[in-house]
Amino acid sequence: MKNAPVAIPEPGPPPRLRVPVAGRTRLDNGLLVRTVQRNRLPIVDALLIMPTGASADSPRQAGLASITAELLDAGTTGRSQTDIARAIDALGARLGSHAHWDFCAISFQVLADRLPQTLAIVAELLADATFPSPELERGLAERLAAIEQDLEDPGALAGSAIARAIHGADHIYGTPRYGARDTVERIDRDAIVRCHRARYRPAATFVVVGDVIEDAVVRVVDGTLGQWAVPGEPAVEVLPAVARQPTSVRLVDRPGAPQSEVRVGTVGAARTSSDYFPLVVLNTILGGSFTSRLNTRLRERGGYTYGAFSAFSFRRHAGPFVAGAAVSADVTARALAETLEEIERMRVERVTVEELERAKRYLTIGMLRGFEANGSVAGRIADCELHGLGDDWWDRYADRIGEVDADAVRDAAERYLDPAMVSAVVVGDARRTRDSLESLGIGPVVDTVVGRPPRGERHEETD
Amino acid sequence: MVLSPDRGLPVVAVNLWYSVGSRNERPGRTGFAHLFEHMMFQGSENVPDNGHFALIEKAGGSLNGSTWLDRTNYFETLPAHYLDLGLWLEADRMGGLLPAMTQEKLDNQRDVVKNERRWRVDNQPYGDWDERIQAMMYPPDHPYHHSVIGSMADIDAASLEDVSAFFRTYYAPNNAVLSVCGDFEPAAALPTIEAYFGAIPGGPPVPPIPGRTELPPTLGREIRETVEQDVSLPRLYLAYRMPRYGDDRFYAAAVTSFILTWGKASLLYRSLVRGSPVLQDVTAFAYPVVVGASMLVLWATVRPGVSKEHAESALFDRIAQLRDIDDADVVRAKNLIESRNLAELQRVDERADQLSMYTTLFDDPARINSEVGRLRAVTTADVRSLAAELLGEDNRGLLWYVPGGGE
Repeated sequence: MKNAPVAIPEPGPPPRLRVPVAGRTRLDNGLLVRTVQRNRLPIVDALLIMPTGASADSPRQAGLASITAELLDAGTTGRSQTDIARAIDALGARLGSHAHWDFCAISFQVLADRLPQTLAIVAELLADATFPSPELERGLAERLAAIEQDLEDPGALAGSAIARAIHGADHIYGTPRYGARDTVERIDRDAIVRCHRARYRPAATFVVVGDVIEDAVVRVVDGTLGQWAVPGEPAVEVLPAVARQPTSVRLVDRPGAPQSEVRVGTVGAARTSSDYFPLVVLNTILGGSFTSRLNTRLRERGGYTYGAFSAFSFRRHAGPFVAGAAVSADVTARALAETLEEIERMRVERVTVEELERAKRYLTIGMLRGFEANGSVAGRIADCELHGLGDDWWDRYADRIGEVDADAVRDAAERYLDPAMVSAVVVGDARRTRDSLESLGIGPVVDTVVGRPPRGERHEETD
Repeated sequence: MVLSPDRGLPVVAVNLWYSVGSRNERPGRTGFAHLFEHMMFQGSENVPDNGHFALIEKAGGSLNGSTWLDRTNYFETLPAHYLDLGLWLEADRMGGLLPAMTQEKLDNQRDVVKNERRWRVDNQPYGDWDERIQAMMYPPDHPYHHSVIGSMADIDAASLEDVSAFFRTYYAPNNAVLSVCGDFEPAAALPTIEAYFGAIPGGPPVPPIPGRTELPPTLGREIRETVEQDVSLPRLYLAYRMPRYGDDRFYAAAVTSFILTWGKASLLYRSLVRGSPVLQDVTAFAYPVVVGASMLVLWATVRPGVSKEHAESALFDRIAQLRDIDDADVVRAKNLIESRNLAELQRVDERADQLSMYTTLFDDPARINSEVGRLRAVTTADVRSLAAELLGEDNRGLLWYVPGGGE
């Protein structure tokens, strides 16, 4: 028996990654079908992306796209909600419809030999959803109750508050995608029907990944989704410009809370931004991995939190950048101050060679794991299609991450992460935290109730 | 040790199960297995402080661990050409954790774990449900009586001596199963595993699980608890004692949980969330635990404007319908189970974990392929008789969270 070596073992030769190539067929009704054949397991994942999503909601009807998606299976001309649910479950299919900011989607996973029947159901929902009563009213009531419940969830409160602080109440990104009490109360059947007609249209992409043969799949999709046609005009999204706000601290009171949810955020970048790759590398170093600066400082060194993070939401338009953590109440102000310090450090110091290399390797070598599950492959193909990134985007990913150097990271940090222009949110016990937050001197501490705007914001209309 | 090569993507999963969990904790040290799990990431003989994480990230991999009632697992998923790194890191901490342990690291991870408890349990609505359900369903001298995360007081009491003793008792090759799954060559990996792990001495025989491990098949009564919290909607956590995981009848319990709440055509969803709506949501699942007995657990949130009494009685009426459930419901549930099983097996890390599980619990890794067959073999008669015998008033615990008070 040999003794174990004490030195870290060297890796073997790197494998050649083959990014799956997806077939491409445009059907007569405009639907683009992308197919990847993977025959290891007899299953199929499918994803239909219709390129107008929740960002086409008006802020006064925030939640419309999300509710329309949820009620898609509420009934069709020929079938009730119960019939539809039984049919889907009997196939063993897991089918869902949801609204992302950039698109409305229907996705499902099913045994490969049940693909045609599943497609028939999807085609029926797309063309013929009727949003009947009483299912409609029940769905709206359920959504209102869920919104109410979220007001007890400190993480959800923090998310709502920071989104509003960054993008403002007049911008759809500043509202909850699933809606708020007052916006959902303005949604009726007419609005849902119009949303369905305007956003569920065949100028879309349908991705199928799994145990299929391309020609056969295209034929069966053509016979179902290919027959789908919708008169009228598609929805258009109109988004106002966003200005970064001078720093303030919005304090949402949760009396007695043992932890505070702390968030710091500002406007980020769009998916197609030329700053995308430097920002991805920046984020990995700052708060996008376990060994990131934020997690190391706030969790491993400070012991303030179970985990600290940061993330850019790269949407069709610039979504938020948010950093945060759930911290022990007694260290709230300190955690906020240190978060801002780490953000500032990204702007004034170049990241170390070791950090840069570690982040880039984490991203470039690690990205191949996103090609493991069918659903993940489908998502990546759809994402490239949605944003016009080109079929070779993932092939070029490693090279483009590789090009990012420390200067590019600092330059991006300088332009995007000015701590004097970020918004901060604390959801916690105001009695315990207000004084120390004020002493930080980073900005005024504003009492905030989620569901109602902070005192001073006057653009909220009442009916 | 289980080696399962397959050439999908060039990735490998390394997975270790140690047969130690919260069930092995002695009184006054609840939560220790989980705190110890955190210590395993703080470095080892040849790995500096946070080195484990940094090395894996630099290799483009991901890693984590988790603690449960019956076991603690550690896993990393790596590009295939980094297999040796994953194996070496696991061997280094299995053989040489203690030289790297310091009071400072223990104190720091204690704070992290206390924050984890705050985040998961103390600062969440309904957050302490599993702690209360376990305490309700398992008597005080049963090893599942206390929660995995443990109490703040016990977490505070943990010492460096405890860390050493725990390591020496439980973290030895004779108490571990290693699974490797993915794009690798067993003929090349075996000598490496031998070289890395072979030098680690076996540990002493593992002490028996403390406390009373045998339980009668039912509670023998109904147990109730009501907690006031700052929530707007009442929520019920309902538990029934079930046979332990591995017992034939456990599979009927698992299928029953699917019949009850999986999919929008499931019994409770279609009748109580849709149909005559009294619930906002409902979820049921079977706990796969092996000591004495397991549980079928269900939670349901009451709709606004519905009384909890009405919701409770509607729920029990529907659950009673399982006693003459239709074939169609059973078939539908089994189709969903089959789909889900295949979907899970797509990922190499999931396969590796299942291989470790089946080997640890049943000494049979091939169950990864045969387990779904056990679920498929459950008949309508099995479900009906399980419902009649075990889903009654004499075998249930009810935990209600109701609005009021507030912290």
